Order: sequence, then C-alpha cells, then structure tokens
Amino acid sequence: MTESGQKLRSPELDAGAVERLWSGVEARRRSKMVRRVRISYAVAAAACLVLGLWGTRQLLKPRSGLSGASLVTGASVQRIDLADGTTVELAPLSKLDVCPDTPGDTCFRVSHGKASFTVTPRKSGPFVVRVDDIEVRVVGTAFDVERVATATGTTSSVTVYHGAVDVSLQGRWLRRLGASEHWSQVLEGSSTDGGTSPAAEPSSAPPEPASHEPRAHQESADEATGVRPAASPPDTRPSRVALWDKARAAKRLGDTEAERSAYRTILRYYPEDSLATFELGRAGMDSRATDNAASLLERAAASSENPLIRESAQARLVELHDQRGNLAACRASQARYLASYPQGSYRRIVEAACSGRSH
Amino acid sequence: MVTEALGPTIDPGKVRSLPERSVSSLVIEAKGGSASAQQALFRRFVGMTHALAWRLVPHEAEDIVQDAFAAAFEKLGDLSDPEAFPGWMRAVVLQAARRTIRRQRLLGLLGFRSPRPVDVQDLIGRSVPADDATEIRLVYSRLARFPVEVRLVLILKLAEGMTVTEIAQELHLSEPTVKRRLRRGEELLDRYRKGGSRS
Repeated sequence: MTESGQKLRSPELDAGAVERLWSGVEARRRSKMVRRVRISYAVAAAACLVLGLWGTRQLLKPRSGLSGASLVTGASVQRIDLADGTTVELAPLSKLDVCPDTPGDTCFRVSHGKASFTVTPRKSGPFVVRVDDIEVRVVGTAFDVERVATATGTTSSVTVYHGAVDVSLQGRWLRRLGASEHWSQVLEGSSTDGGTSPAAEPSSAPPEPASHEPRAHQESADEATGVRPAASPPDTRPSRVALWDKARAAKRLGDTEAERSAYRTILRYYPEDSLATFELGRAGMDSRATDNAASLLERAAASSENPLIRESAQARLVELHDQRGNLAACRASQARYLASYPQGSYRRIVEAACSGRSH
Repeated sequence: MVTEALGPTIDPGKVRSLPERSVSSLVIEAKGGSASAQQALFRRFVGMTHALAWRLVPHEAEDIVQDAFAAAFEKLGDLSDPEAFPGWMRAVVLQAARRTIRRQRLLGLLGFRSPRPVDVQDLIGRSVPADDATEIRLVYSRLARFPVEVRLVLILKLAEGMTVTEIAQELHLSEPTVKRRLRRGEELLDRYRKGGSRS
C-alpha cells in the first residue's frame, strides 16, 4: 500500500451541486442565527420571569406595620407583639425606633430608656437591636437593651436572660453574651469610654458581665475598638458569675439544698439580684420547703425590672398558694396575674389553679 | 473587484477568476464579515471539503460540507494564521464528520435509520494496487460497523493515503494513539475477512 496520495475519487461536483451546497450553508447560518436569537429571547424571558417573581415576592412580603416608626412611652410600660410571636416591652420614658435601612432584617434602635425583647426563634432574617453604635444580633432569646443618658455621659447596656446574642461595636464584633450575662459601655461626653459596669447597673439583671476568659476577650476587643474599660470601685465581694455558676451546677446535679444555699450566698452579697430571689423561692417550692417561698416570690414580683421574672414570680405565687390550699391568697394572686398578663405565658396554668382540688 | 462582482448568487464564470486572490486575503476579509469573501472561500474549498466528507461518510457528504462551512464561518475569528486555512478547514470537516457519524449511529440504534452499504468500485483509482482496493472495498462495505474513531483513521489512511504522522496532526492525536486505532481497525478488518471467507 502506498503511504500517500488519494486512492479513492469522490463524485464530481457540478455547478448545480455547488449552488445547492452554498444555499445549504447560508440556510444553516440563518437557522443558527435564528436559534441564537431565540435562545437570547428565551434567556431574557427567563430572566424577566425570575425578576418578576422576585419582585412580586418582595411586594407581597409581609412587612412590619412599624416600619420607619418610633414609639415613645410616657409613664407606663408599652408592649409590642410582633407577628412571629416576638414581644418587645418598652419601659416608661423610653423611645424605640424601627430602623428604616434594613430590608429583610427586623431591626430596632433604642434611642432612649430601656426595652426588653423576648425573641421567638427565627428561621428568616436576623433580629437586630441597636443602641448608639452597638448592635445586638439575636436568633432566639430574651434580653434587655438600655440607654441611660446622665449629666456625665451615656451608658448603653445589654443584659441577656436566656439564649445568646452577638454584640458589635461600630460594626466590629465584640463578643457573644450568653444567658445571664451583661455588657455595658459608658460614653463620657464625646469620648468613647466604655467597659463593664455591673455594680453601677441597678437592674435586677442577674449576673455580672462575664467570667475571666470572656472578660479578657472583651478587654482585648475594647482595645481594638478604642473603648477602654471604665474604672470601677474596688469590689471585695465574690464574683457574681462564680456564684451563679455554682448555683447552676447544683441545679444541674439536682442538689436542691446546694442550689438554695448558692442563691442565699448570692443574695447575701448581691441583695438586689431579683433573679436569685425568684430562684430561691422557686427552688423552695420545688423541694416543698415553702416556708419563705411566698415572701421571696412576692419580693421578686415587686422588685424586678425584668418583666419575665415579674410574670414568672406572679405565676409561681398562684401555684404556691394553690399547693398550700390557701384559696383566698390563690385567687388574689390569680386575679393579679390575669390583670397584669391577660395574654401571659402561664395564663392557662393560672386560670386552672385555685379550684381547691390541688394541695 | 472579484468579490463585488460575485453577488449573492453563484456565477461559475466569475468563480473561476477567484484563484487570482490569495487565500490569506480572503480569510482576512471573511473574518471581517465580508459575505463575498466567505463565498469565495467556499468556492475555493468546496471541492476538497466535499471529497473528504464523501470519503468519510459517503451518504452524508453534502450535509457535512454545509455543516462544516457554517461552523467554519462562525468560528473563523479563532483562526490566527490565515495561511493555515486549508488544514484548519479539513479539521472542521473531520469534526463535522465525527458528529454526523455519531448522530447516524444513534439514529441507527433507535431504529430510525439503517446503514446503507457503499459501492466504491467505480471510484477506486486505476493506479491503486489490487490488495489496497480490496481493503478499501471491505472498509466501505462494513463502514457503519466501525467505531467512529477507528473509522476516521482507517479512511484517512486507506482512502486519503495519509501517513500516521499526518493523521495524528489532522485529528490532533498522538502518533501512538493513531497507531493503536489503526491496529484496532486491522483487527476488525481481519475479523470481517475471516467472516466473509466462512460465509
């Protein structure tokens, strides 16, 4: 076999065949162009459809009726119930704005005073609360955000009751606050002095800011942001966090006596701690050592600035009087709870109590 | 100017004057979108293209030529060296042939088209040795049964008379790959020969 040269002739192409072939080439090019145009139209139509659906979804998206609004309280507490079950309680003489620039997020700004949030666990956008340049991001928790302006400066604080929140300052993440943790920043004049101020915090918010490790984290973060810790008076008391840790450890172990003892210790050093007051009453009830449970719960219900503690204490009082068979006191407590919390979390339990059947 | 005189329809008289212009200048003009230059290139290479396509897939040669030129004009911008147009065009034809063979095979598998035998008796050159002519006849009679890649290298070797190196360059393959495919083709041919002698 030879290695080069064609061995097979192909049929000759006459002028007609060439003409036909050229027409075919042109037809193919035209059809390709038409196909390309069709594809372009299809892509454009699909893009329009997607945009249209997205736009419709945005338009139909339920929006908060509070968008862009401000709420200012007078002498009484105002409660806002959001559609997802989240509640906001605005303390007297406070101002709460709904951030206008956060589509997709639920965002409030505490401009003055104090607001308590109980946030339902969320699947959609984050729940954000701002105070000055602090931002608190949450998923599902209960916490207070407070801004107090005095002659010497402004204190902004965050107190978490359960769950966790992320605190940012000037857009930079500072730290995560867990249950029973508190964080505050003091702004003096135009400077940005800041730091923890548990002693200065008069609220019944249980705990001191943080254990040693988080405090170190916070301080380093404060250095990074230029916020320096506020000077605090020397405090010889044992750390509230350590005392609460001890109480919680005992609770986890089911050691009621040790738990109650820990609450007593907390109250010895921090008598204003209304959560400890409540927990001591509650632990007494649970262990049937109800001698002073009623007075403790009454104290918690009366003194706590935390609405959750107030409500829980009032509900517990109803239960306690019911257990003891003290119908008169039970009904009085029941009436007080239902008047204060007609839609409260314990409403059904409270309504079912005081029937004289339990003791 | 020749390209202006050509117009949208073919004038065989004018076509004959095309060789006066270089392929490079036609390619450059065609790349710029000149319809007349594209037509001139078509005129210049349709014979070679059709011959190659016919040898690769006899019954679909015209389809392959049309596909190849439509594709070539579309991606002419990719051709950096205008001088290389003839070789590049052959590669485009081979790609079009490969697509056509695969399509045919698929249609055959789905039962839409059955392979037709090709009689090349009258087209084998007189100077082709008898044993080569036998091989060519055997290949074309069993063409549809060869795997696509084996079929391409066999035809380029047997019908086009190309060397292994030339086939490798044309198909953008390594020489060992071409040799392997040729060996596979030889094995198949052997099997067909034995099958033929038995029957």
